[in-house]
Amino acid sequence: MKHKGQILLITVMLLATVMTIVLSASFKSVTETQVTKLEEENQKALAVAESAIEVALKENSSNSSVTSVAVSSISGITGFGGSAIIESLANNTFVTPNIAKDGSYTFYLGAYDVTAKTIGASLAQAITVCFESGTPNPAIEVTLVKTSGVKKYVVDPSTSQSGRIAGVPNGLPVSTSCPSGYSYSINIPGLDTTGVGADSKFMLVRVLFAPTRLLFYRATTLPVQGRTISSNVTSSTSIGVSKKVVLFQSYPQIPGEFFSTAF
Amino acid sequence: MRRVFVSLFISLFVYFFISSFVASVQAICYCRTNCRANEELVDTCPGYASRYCCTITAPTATPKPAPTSSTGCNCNIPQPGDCTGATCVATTQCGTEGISCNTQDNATTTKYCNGLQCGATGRCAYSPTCGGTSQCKPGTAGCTITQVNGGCGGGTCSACYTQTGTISCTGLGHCSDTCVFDASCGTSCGPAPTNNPGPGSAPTCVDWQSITINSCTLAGFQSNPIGSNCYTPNQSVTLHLSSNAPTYMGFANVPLATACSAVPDTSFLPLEAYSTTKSWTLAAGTGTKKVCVGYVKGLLTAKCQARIIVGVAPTATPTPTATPPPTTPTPIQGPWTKLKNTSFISKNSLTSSIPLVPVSYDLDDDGSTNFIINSELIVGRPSTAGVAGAPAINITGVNIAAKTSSPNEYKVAGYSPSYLMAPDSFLSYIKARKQHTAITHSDLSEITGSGIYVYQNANPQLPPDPLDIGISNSTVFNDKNLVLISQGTINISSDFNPTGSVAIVADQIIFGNTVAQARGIFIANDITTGSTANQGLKIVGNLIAQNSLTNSRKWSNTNIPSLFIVFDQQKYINLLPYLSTANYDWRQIQ
Repeated sequence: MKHKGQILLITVMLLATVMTIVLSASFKSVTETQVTKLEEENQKALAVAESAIEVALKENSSNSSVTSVAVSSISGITGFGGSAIIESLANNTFVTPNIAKDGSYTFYLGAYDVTAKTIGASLAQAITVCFESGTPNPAIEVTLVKTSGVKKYVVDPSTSQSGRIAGVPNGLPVSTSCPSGYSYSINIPGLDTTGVGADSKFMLVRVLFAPTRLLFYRATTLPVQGRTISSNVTSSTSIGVSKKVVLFQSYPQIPGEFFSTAF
Repeated sequence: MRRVFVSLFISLFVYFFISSFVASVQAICYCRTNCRANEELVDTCPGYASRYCCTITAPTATPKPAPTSSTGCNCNIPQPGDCTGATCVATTQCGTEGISCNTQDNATTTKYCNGLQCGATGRCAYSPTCGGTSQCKPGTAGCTITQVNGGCGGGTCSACYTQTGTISCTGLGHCSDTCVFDASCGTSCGPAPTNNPGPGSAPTCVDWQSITINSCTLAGFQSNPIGSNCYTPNQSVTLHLSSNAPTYMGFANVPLATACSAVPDTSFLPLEAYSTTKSWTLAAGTGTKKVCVGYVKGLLTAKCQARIIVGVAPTATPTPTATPPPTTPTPIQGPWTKLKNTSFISKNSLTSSIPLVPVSYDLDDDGSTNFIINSELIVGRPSTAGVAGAPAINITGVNIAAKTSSPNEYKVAGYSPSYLMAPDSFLSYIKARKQHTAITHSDLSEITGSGIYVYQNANPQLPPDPLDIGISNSTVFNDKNLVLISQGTINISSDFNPTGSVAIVADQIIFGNTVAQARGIFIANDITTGSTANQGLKIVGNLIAQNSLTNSRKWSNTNIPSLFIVFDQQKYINLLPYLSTANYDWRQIQ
């Protein structure tokens, strides 16, 4: 009798052990399935957010009064809510993406009319162009384009070194308008005879020797340099995944290779 | 014994059961912005930017600290309180470094600028003491710049500077001024402003003829060996000046490698009344010395150079009469090129032998010995001629005084640029991203308005036939702003002067021999200008040949440039929507 009781107890314990293993495995499987679903919905939400940006860009290009697109209005997309909003963010500083060696950036000095494709009048106000250091240091050539002509400004921090642009400003001391991370600068005066005037249209900054970001600064708000589209999408399922994607699309950029004479 | 076995078994069971359960619970990954107190940050959450995979902390495990910046401060998206006890180094991080008030970082939470709490507007507040530009920074709250047309020495500007603006801090008043150097601020800075005397009477500077050191002339310094009169035993020399009756002159000793055009105006101070001779002391030491002279006449200036060697002239080695000494062949003047108001950056070496006495191509050409003409000649004003950069630059084969540009010579030899955009890649971009019209008719009748046109074969799989643009079809370009692209050859067989702005992008562009002038932006891998005996080619717009330029144009007078390229910025302004790409910056915020 004593033996029977012990066998029963051991049997119950073995059963409990097996059940524990089975339940643990089952629990883990369910969890992994949930994570997989979450990941799938996550990818879908990202794709929808990007689609909304594409649609917003397209509609705004054909009709500039369209400044937002509801996700629900996009055909073929269900199960998601949210919108893509087109903004024109203005500030008194503007930072470009990293510009490759020999690349360029077209910086607008007047308001760009996307529909009429024209550039408005500029303020006769000084603009500071800041750029970074590097190994080797980058140098920049600023071409100020006006309806009446062009003006050129060249800065090379390594001007005194062999193989660099001799006899030009070295960009020092860096302007106090340049935040940390920017080691060199040039000030384009706000006088029509020597710099930015009312007929100024844009500046094309060519980056030489090494890549750098550029920062433009003006005491007053700079003209808008492009469209910022913010897309915020949320899935309508119980998981409720949200995605927010922001895209900045610059106004037309003239390739630097097509701006400088070459042969 | 059996009881001991049973007890041991029960103990093992309990331990196994509990540990299995805990392990399974621990494996759950919670994607959170911040892990909770009883959770452990394991990794970033897959698919979620700025979220972390958090698991419940095992009771016996040592808690793993969250990723931190230098102080152990929470580096997650900042929330009020996240940065308690630490200062921010960026809008999304914390750290120990203070921020200078020079920065313009947004101050969203706890943020200090070298002990000053950030201003309410989200920018660094200006210092309560108004005394330096860093303390009253344009763009910061309370700091304003007012443009003024102040006179010489106005405000806090020094005597030779004109006040162009005032900087003020709210509540603190006037801080400082913005000043620019102005040569018209008196005789100590330069002459008083006068009316522009006109190009005819502007001071002229013909190198070597306008300044001579002692009796060292152009021919003397250029001769081989250098003439003995181009040596001086000491630093005291007499300068002989010759110019077109300027009002003032000034001098500067400069290093040999420094172009006089690049010498700042202030280096010529003080100016003195013009005379034909001047006693001068050269820079210390022996060797070749260079002196620059700056002539001022009204608002116009000219800077000229001269050289002389401080030392003893070498004694000539007797040459055997039987063997004549080798002579340097006289350079033969060939076709050469001149640019105006542009930059030159090329992968190919630049070779253009500028003659000793150039002759103007037309009224757009100033007849100078510069490769790139600068149309802005007033002192203190920026140049319109830009950088000349190439693997090698040789423009002094005939005239050693030739420059890439003047007065500022932005020259960089030994530079090998890379082309990030080429005709082929631009066409690919246009086809993928821009609205354009494909045309197939060689009469160009499909061009109906401004825009981008891609000329292609009727069968797009085949390369396009050469396209001829001549008298019969060039009128379609009038009154339109357009870019015409072809993957083949475009022949321009007659003068091309459309009333609109046109850019032609092709694999190859060939100008016919009879073309004297073409207005437009011509971009190709290879460009041929034709072959003539007495006819040059003028381009008004721009010319970019990324692989090669074959220029067989000639004038009977070889002192005239055979190819003259005048940059026209208006074409770029008009073609901005078409001859352009776009820049994208994509960020996933959540």
